[in-house]
Amino acid sequence: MLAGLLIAVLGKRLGESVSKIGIVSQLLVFAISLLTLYEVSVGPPIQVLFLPTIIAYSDVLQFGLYIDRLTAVMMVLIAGVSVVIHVFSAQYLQQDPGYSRFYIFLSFMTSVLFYMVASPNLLMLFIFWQLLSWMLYLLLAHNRSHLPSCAAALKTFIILRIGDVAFLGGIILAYMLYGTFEFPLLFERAAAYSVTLSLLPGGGLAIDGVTAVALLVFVGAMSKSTQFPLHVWLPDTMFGPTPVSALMHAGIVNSGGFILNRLAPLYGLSSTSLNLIFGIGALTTFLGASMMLCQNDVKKMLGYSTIAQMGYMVMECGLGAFALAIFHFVAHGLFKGTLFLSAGTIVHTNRIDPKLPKPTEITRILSAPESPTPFSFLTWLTGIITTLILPLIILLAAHDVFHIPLSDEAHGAIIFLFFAWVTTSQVVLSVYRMDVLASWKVVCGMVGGLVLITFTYLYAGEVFSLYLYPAPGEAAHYFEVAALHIWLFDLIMVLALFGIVSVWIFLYANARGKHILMPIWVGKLRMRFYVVCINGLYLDTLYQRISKKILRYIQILDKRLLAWLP
Amino acid sequence: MDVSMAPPHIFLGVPILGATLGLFFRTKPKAMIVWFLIVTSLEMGLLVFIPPPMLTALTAPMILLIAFSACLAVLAHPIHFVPSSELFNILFFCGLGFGFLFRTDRLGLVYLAGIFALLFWIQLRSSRFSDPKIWWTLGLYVIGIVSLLSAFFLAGFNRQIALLLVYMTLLPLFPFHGVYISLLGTLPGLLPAFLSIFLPVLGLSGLISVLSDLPLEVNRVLLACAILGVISGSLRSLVKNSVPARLSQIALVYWSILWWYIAGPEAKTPPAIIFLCAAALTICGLFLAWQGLKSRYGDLAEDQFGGLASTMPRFAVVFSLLIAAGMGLPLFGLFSGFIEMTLSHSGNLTAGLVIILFSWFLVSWAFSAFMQKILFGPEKTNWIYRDFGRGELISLSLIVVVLIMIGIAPYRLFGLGNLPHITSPISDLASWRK
Repeated sequence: MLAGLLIAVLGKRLGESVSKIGIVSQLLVFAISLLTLYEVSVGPPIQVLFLPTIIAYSDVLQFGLYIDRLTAVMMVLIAGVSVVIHVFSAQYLQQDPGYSRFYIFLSFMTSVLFYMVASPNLLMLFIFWQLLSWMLYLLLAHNRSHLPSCAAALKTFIILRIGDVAFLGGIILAYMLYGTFEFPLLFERAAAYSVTLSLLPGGGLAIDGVTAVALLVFVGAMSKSTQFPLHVWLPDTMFGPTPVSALMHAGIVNSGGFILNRLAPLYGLSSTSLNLIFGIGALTTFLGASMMLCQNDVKKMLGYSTIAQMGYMVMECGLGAFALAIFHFVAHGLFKGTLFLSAGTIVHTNRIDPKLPKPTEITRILSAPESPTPFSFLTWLTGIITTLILPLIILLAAHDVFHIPLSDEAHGAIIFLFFAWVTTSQVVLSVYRMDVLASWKVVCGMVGGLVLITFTYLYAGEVFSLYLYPAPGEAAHYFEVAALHIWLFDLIMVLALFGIVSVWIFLYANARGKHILMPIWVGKLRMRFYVVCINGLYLDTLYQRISKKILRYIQILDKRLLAWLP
Repeated sequence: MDVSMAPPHIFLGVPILGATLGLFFRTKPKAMIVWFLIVTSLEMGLLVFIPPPMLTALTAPMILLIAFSACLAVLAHPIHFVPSSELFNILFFCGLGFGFLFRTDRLGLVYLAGIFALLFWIQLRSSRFSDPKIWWTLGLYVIGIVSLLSAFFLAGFNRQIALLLVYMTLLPLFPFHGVYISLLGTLPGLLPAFLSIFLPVLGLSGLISVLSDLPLEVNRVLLACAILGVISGSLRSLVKNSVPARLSQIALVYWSILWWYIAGPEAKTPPAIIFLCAAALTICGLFLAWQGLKSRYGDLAEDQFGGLASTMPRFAVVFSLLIAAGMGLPLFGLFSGFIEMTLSHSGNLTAGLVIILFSWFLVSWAFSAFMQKILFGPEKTNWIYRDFGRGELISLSLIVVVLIMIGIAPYRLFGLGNLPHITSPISDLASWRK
């Protein structure tokens, strides 16, 4: 924040040298974050109260900092990404008229993120949550004369504001029910007092108080973490500067996952909300991934990929694997940030190289008849073994043969295995798509992917869980609360299995130059689904139409029915 | 002469005397503005010399707010415009308003009648009678004046109701909001900015003594009107393309939220005052900013502007901060006031609160769309842009600073900690909230 203020004051005098202030300050912050991570890893959480209680902001807020392991991990991630982005932007934005402004907002944004993750209570968290929406709006509208950028920024802000207002409703309800914003006291009271609310007069539509609070806060998380149907802002933000995209995809969208983790004890009291969170996460993953596969623009593809990844993250929280979600988004933040920062180079290269094939290339393609892609049995077998047989044996053996109950710590391992399986399949299929490699290299890639992912999920994931939730039985408790009905779990397994088998059959047939006999309606349905996905499920159109209709009715009300009323 | 009478007389006399003496500077606009600045600053300075029994914790912020808004209006007056009658009117309003704030007896009502008369006269001068809305507004003036006269002669419950009707026109409550909205929407110059603070301040000051004695049924009607006002204002603010119209509808939302709070059970005075100050200053600031634009480019619709972020950077910074304050973002006073009010509101998440939260979102939408149209987009090549001058900038910056101060400072610092409840507390709150 100080760096931001300094840049604001010295901006005109220093010109583009202001980046140095930003970079040095971020490096300092990164070093402090690492030190803090070490401190909280070996000792208790750090608590700082900025204002003595006697002159605290009104009666309800104690402005301070609370840094535990979760906060420290987030701080390291934010500071790390921020350093990279500050360094990258120094050259990327050269000769941009808003150079200093960009660095001011970037510094403020980083400090807002820091304060948000270090908030000791719900109200302070909400204050910085809202400021984050505002800062993002200003950064996205960096190019102020470019109308599409500004329109996307406005759309982003309005959707984030929906989440903000729901979040506000959640914290007001939390205060009304439990009389505090301070996290430990809030969790304690929520666990001790059971309150039932009725949504309709006369006691109709009863809902548990904790569930109501959890769901309202979750709507806030949905908006920032691009969950269906509030994901529509993300794909449009690609007009913004690349460093902003990188910061957004590596840091800001993770804030939803952070909130769910911060409030894990609250969510741990409401299985309904966790199940719903799982459902929304799963839907977002499926739709996000489907839309990603249909895009023909690099940045949009990355955008939809983020939506799918955020769906994963939320799904993990919905299954009670809160720490796994953090692990996931740290990893995602790093790789997605890198991809965004290098996306510009790819786009630039493509602009230099004409997209159309050269005449010699066209002649070569026309002269050679289309031949099936080389496909070895070894590759296929390895793929099948790594993505289907091996994981299924482990998963089914643990779940159905040995009848490991879903209500103890083993359930967590099953969930970790499930995610390991799905991720491995993704990796293996991605490796397979690199068909220019010789088959033994592909095989090595597949096996290596399986080993790495299994190790990551079963070892690193578990270790991370213990690190973030060290209290005995805490992580297991969340798994227990989030446990799905056995039939639902089996159904999800079958669906995932069906998906992976279908993909392998399809790939195999394609590689052999054969076509799978499918009913015509399936082919048509596939085409329709493709068109729907490439158009982002037409959600934008739908929202636009709805809002236009509503505005038209309000106009009629204003100009005709209430023409006499000022 | 009774010593206790002196402060109100001084407060009444200084602005009126100042306005009269200001006539000597008619041919020297710069000197006249400096003179008016001295008078309004003197008003604020005089507060220090008022003995504590005369200046209660409730009266002090109200007087300060009125004097401050007058000072801001004078400061923001474009120097290239010859000061018009509006500055004289502002000083007259100040004098009468101070008279009302100091006197809670019948003499206070006389001052209020003077304010109504002056408002009515200004309204008649600036109105177009072809607009159907003006008849509703004039009707409200009649109701206001008749109620005021009735309050003068009546006593007990009837007097309370008559006064309530008067205050409903000052602190706008649906469907009595016409006076306020029309004044803000139709008056020229800096008067709307001043009145946007002045009228609600008078309204709330009067209401605090009236509301505590009203029966529950009346409070319920007031709550229903407040909710209707929130709905009407937030929806209509979305479709307005004229800046004053949009801002006045948003102001209606703010005041309806305030009504919803003060008419509900267990309403405390400090959050209401904090919210009033913040909302009034925000609206005033935006009207001052609008006046700055209007004096440069004319009374244009919102979508005829654009590109001011790059061509008027100083304006853009303060304007965007005011918009942020208006949207209820932290750390501005409106956010703090709103949070204080919602948290000290008793009961569960009622339908009213849900509607208010939804309107909060709609107001954000209206504000962000408004800001987008004014600041962003390509600049007009055929326009000659001129950024805000020193006076305008100081005026708006002062508002931003005060809004932040209200937002982050505890209200005990303003001496509001010991004010009584507006309405009586209820008893079924959870034990930890007592």
